[in-house]
Amino acid sequence: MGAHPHVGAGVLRNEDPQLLTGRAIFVDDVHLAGTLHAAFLRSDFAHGRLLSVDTSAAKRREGVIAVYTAEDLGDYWCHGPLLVPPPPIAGLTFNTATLVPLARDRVVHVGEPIAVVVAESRYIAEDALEDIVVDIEPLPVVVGLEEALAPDSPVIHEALGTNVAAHVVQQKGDYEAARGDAHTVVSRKFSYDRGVAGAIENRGILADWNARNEELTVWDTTQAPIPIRNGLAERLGLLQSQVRVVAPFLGGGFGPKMMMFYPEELLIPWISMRLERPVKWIEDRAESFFATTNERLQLHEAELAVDSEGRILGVKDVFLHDSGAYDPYGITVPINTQCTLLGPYRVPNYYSEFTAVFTNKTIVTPVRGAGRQHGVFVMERLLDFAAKELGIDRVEIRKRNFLTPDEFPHDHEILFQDSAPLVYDSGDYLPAMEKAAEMIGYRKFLDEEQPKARAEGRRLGLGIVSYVEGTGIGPYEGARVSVEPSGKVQLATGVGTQGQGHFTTFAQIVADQLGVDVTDVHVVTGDTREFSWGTGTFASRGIVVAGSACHEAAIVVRKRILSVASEALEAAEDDLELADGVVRVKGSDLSISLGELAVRANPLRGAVAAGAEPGLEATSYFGPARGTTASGVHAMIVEIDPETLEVSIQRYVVVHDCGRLVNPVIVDGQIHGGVAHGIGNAFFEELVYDDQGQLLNASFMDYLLPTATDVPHMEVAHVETPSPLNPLGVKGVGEAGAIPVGALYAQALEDALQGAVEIREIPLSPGRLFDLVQDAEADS
Amino acid sequence: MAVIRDMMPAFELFRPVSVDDALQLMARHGEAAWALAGGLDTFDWLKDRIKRPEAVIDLGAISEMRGITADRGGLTIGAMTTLTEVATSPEVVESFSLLSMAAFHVATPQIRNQGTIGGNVAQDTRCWYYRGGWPCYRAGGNICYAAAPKAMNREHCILGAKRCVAVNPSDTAPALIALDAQMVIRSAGGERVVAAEDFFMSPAVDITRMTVLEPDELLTEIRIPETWSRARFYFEKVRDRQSWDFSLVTVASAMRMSGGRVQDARIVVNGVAPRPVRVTEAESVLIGSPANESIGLAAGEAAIRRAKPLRHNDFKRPLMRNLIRRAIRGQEA
Repeated sequence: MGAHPHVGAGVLRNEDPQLLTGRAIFVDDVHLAGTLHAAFLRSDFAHGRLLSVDTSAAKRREGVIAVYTAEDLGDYWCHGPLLVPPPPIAGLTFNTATLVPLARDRVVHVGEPIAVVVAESRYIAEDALEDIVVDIEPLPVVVGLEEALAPDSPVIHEALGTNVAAHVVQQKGDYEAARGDAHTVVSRKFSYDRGVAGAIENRGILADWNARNEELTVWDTTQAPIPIRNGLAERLGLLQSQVRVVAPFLGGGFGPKMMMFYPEELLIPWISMRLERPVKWIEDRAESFFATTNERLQLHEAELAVDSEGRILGVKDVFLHDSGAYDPYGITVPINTQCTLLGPYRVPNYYSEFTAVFTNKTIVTPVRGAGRQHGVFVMERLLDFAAKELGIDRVEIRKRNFLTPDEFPHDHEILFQDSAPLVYDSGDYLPAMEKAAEMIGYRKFLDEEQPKARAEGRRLGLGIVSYVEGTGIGPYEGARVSVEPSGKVQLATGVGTQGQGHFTTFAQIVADQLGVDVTDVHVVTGDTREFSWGTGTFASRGIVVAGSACHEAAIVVRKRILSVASEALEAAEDDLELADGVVRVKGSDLSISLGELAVRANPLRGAVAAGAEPGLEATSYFGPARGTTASGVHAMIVEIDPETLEVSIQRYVVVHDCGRLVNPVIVDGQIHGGVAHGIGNAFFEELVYDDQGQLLNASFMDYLLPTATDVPHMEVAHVETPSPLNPLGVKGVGEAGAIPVGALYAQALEDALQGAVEIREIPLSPGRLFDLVQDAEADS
Repeated sequence: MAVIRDMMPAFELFRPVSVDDALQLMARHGEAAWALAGGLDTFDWLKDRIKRPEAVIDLGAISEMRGITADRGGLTIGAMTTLTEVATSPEVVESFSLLSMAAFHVATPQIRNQGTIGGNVAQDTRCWYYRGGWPCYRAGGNICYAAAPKAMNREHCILGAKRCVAVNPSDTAPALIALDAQMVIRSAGGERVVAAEDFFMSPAVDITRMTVLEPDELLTEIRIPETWSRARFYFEKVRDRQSWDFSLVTVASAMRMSGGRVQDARIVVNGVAPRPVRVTEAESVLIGSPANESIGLAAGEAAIRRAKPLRHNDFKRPLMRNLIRRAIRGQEA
């Protein structure tokens, strides 16, 4: 083993014993004596004037402690923060409508909270919800995106006078000129819809105001404990040191738990302070469909201009994006679409315009992939159609347009979600495509297997698509590494964790510097008392930003270890080696353990040199100038039953590049989970809203997540193009698997149906395929 | 519509140990009683606070309602027998594999371990408007939301709809009809036996019920006669997701051949109408003919001739046709 025995190794996860034996603590596992339980009364109407809320009967019910409406909140009622202000794009229109803790005059989506009941039990709280009398005067509902922009459409936020949440144009070069030079222009309309994150654990909050110590502790299913602590302290008029936010183990985040502040997150701590008792709220599944953010529809009108060889001259894309009822997350999702559409390709001219639209539906914020799916779908489909029109092989057209390694860093001349220029740091796309084609047996399939299957009446199809993912954006994260007298290492970071394997990957990074075993590095995250600075886990950034901070802090601690050891062992630092938890003088049996060094570094008696710091401890921060660009190719072979149009996946291949792999097993796991999300999006999951903005399938009976029987075995391989933007050379991977699956399904199903239909929409289903086939038959 | 609903409101819970005790309780509480079998239909309704029974009568402790016994070449299956037991019973597998296949297609192993055959046939419809608590016809209101011009109804009826377009969701029901099963129904007043074919209620007769069971009645056992023992069977359920999902269209058929021709056949579909439907149009094309592709297609076409798709479920017509076609041509060999 070299200098980095742990980074790069598929070591077992430090957190798994706790998770697998059921000892891991989740928010609802925290039981405090005297806890009260909250339940929210939510709007049944998608749009309406809230005329009155009568809570008197609810308050009289035995066991009910308090009932609050907007009126009861006094000064605490206000619009929430704009979490992500839009990047400084010239000519941008952005209309802010951030959410409120409880609806006051108006309700703007089904599920918007109107009142909260606090009772001795959740049963009583829910019984009392039925005692509340709400008078809502229904208003016309805004559901469709195009309808929302019609001149006669009702307006959701009257003060804005429009349903336009944002209008953004970004361009590079001169698309119209490029179009004029084109041999072929392919133009199509696309519709790409998404759904819920489907985390197995819904949201939940337990707040405990200790009046005696004047301390507030909040257990919250958040991806961003530190910003939650900071915001709560500010809103509640407390010092940050008086507020401790703990995000313990989370049953999945995927983006919606990054949103803040949810109304419940603001209200439960406030109620605990007023009642001086612990208050718990656990979201139920049906509630989650309405009250937790999701991702939804975009409608694109796009065109691709190519020369006779299929080389891209330019792309134009104009799209509508459903923001839902409020836009606290700014334009993150549609700008991701705009920026990710370009993919791994050389696109000299680009015109992209989007309009984000308010609708009377649940708020849209990033869900794993965060708008990238939509963009990748449009670009990959356009390339497929262009290839078909020009008679070029679909792998070949992609290869011709890939950026080559000498073109990095590659500046796309537009701004990304983090306001930094969209510059790809590094990449090498051709080997990934070739590897994927080889693994799936591309030529053999097309030349032999598919024709043979067709002759037997079987419909097999192959899909192969590429994508990039902007990952690892700023602003910064930090880490504190300390060696303790036990010889064990504590590593604290503020980033928060929801199943990504941080307890292991961060430990691997530190273990390599300190010469200890991975299991001896105890990672603490998600507790603001342990680490006070940071933002959160989102945008596939944990390993890039927090991982780099861990690395830097560990390097400083390593230096301190060697310095203290040099003195203790009376040897030059260069003559020392650090391994197996001890510092040894090379070529001798003279050594000292890390535990002893930790004691020496923190003496109880004796003079200490001026300026010296105690302990073997260091804190470092890492803030990248801009994000890293991961990439990948997915390929699959599907079979469609010609009589039922049921689809089964025969093979699924992923070749992925997230730079240097810290733990390949964890990376593969991230990809597997992402692909499962992608399959759900492509073929199973759909939020069905009716024309009154009512969500009809708010349960796992009707909203279908893919199960183990629907997610195939995946063959995963890696290409490693290190990032030059961080000391580890890593790139993010959390969202990667989910991104290209819609485009992949579309291409593979079209292939299996022998070009009988053209697929320009996601999600699909057997029923939808029947419709498409019937429409195509009717047209021909 | 209402959104927070995870805690059941209070009710009185009874756990009788005999059918007679259960029937006494049913008689005493009448309309306010709710018979609880595996709970897979019940608990959703209660947690969603949409159905509000005052007395829940848990049948789980009644041992006489469980088990499968051979009976003159046929079988008697207690209504509280789990779907796993039905699916794996050697007697069912040997002689009436159609029912075994049907039971295997219900939901997931966990649900089959808990769910009962009686519950599976007596379960309520899964229409998302009705389940969502909308005041529709079936729920006592005066509109079918799923049949409205802009309704979302891809899972709904293409046949036999009257005022309500929700489908019967049971997987075992079409198999039982194909096997000509007899449903034994008891009340405090006595016993009656109804053919499976007549057990399911059309909304044209009573829109608030899925079966002929009166409020004071229990389905206690299901008798399968020898008639179709070891016949040629076909079962196929098409659903959006390959496990843990309700049917879009299901076909269950039983056939007897003689001299290369179909002597007798029963073909039943579910997921297309308010009740599982015996497709007599297809049967009459089939009987006396060879069970081949062209007869299959003709029978399938005959079966969907009267179909009236809604806004979003036209796909069920070709799907139903194709499933009937497969049920027939599969028997050719």
